[in-house]
Amino acid sequence: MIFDRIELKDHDYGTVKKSSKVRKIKFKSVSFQNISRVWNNFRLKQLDKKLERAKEKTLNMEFGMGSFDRKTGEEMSKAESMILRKTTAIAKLEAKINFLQFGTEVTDDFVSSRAIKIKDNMMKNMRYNANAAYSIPDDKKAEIFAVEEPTTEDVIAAAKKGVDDALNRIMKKKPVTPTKETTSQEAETAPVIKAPTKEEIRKTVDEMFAEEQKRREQATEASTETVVEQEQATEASTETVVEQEEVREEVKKGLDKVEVTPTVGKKEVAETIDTELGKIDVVPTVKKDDVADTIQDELSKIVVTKNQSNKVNPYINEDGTYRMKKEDIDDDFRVTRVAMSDREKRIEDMRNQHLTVQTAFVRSMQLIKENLDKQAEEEKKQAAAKEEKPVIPAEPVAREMPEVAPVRTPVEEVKALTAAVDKATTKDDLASIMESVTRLQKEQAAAKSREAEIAANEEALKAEKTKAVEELLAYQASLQADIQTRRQGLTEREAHNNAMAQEIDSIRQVMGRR
Amino acid sequence: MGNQEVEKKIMSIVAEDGSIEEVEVILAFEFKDTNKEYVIYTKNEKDENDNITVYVSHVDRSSGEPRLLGVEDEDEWNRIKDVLRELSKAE
Repeated sequence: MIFDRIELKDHDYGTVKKSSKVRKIKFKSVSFQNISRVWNNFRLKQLDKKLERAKEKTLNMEFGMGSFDRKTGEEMSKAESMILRKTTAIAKLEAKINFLQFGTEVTDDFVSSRAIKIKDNMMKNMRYNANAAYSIPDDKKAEIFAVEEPTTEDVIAAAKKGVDDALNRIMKKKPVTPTKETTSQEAETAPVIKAPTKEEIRKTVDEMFAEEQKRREQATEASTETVVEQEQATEASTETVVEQEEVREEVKKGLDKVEVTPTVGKKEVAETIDTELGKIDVVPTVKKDDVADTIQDELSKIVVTKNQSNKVNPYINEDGTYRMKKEDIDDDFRVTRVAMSDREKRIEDMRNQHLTVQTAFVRSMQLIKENLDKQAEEEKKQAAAKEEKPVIPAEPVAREMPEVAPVRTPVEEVKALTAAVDKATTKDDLASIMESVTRLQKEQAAAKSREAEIAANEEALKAEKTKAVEELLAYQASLQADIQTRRQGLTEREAHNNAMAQEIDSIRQVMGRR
Repeated sequence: MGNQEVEKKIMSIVAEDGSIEEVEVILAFEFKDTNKEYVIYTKNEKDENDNITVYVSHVDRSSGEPRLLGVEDEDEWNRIKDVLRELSKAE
């Protein structure tokens, strides 16, 4: 026998030093476990022996009558505390044995309650035998330690409750109450963890089962409802198929109503475009009269200066003609606003030399012309090849000139300039007349450039027209393509719906057979 | 008695280089004739065949504090192996 040669040991090694090479050997898992089990059993036996020894020591403590002083109670409390210390050690050993045997850990509270129970029993029996002897007879040992051994369930439940209480204590920051110097009464009222009874455990389990059953029933109902819903969904899908057939027919009817022109000729498109463009107010050509009207409008915006506004009105009739003769016109008269309501008429009158249809500007031009004529004659007389310098008329020239110069013949222009020259008295007058003429020339050039611009705009308009036609044709083509695509899509959808309907019919047949 | 969840006995070994290693003691015994104490421990190492390696050291308490020494004698080592084999077959 192996244990004849060896003695198993159970020491607490803690931290040890290793100073030389170690031997090693391999075992199979089963063999390893066997070795481990042998040693653990040995350890359990050792603990049981310790427990027995502790019990023996407790029982053999001297509790002689002399040590009890019932009056003071002091020695009794000391004895009780001593007993409690011993029973606590016993309870700890029991807890350790429980752990080794069942793997269940218990809390300190369980240990302390167990210790108190043992102590109470001991005290009870000791008092009973107090008169008899120092030590408790052997037959009484069983009574003393005949404390109901806690079942595993009780231990586990107590442990769990102990954990909860510990947590609550921690939350409330209560210290762990060590069981020191507690009397039996205190022990009864002390916060001892009461292990739940078997009835309570059974009740809890029953409740759990009932909940589980209820949950399963609810799940079954839910699944039944789900099946019903799925069946309803299937019916709805068949209805949807029927509805889709109706929709398909409606779509067909709608398509038949759609007037789609298979082909659209270019001629028809062009005619349409022409009709539409005809509605657009596009002026293909710009007449000079229209331009003059535009200029007139622009000129009407010219504001008369404040200091001369009073002088304007008395000299201008409602139709824009001057009432005053040219001699009555003030030299300082400055007209910046030209009221020209009937421009063509004035031009005609000027051509016919009607001075009544005159504005200050026109009048000034006439004077210029006259002066220039005179100057020309003088120069001719002097036989000098000088250039005719235009002179400013007596009347000052309007600062804001119209955009387009009045249409006059060259003769009329010369006459006006000549008259202006005749009227000029100083070099400055002549210079200003020259400026007026230069300005007039510029206006004529501007008018010419404007006409060129208008021509260019006409060309651009024509190009735009052509481009619009092309874009419309392209758009038409894209519309046709879109219609074709949609027709194709509708056809495909129709085919798909037919296939779906057939599939549903086949499913119905299968379900009908079932 | 069962052997389900057993409290492990842990031992910390300080190597010669000063490193500390924690191991699990699985057996400790002494021969009655020589009074030599041995400790068998494992680092829970398994090989490809699921075999577990265990280590055997002689516990020397002559200096007061326990020290782990190697098994130098081959006969001694054979005796130890016999003990282990016999215990591994115990039911």
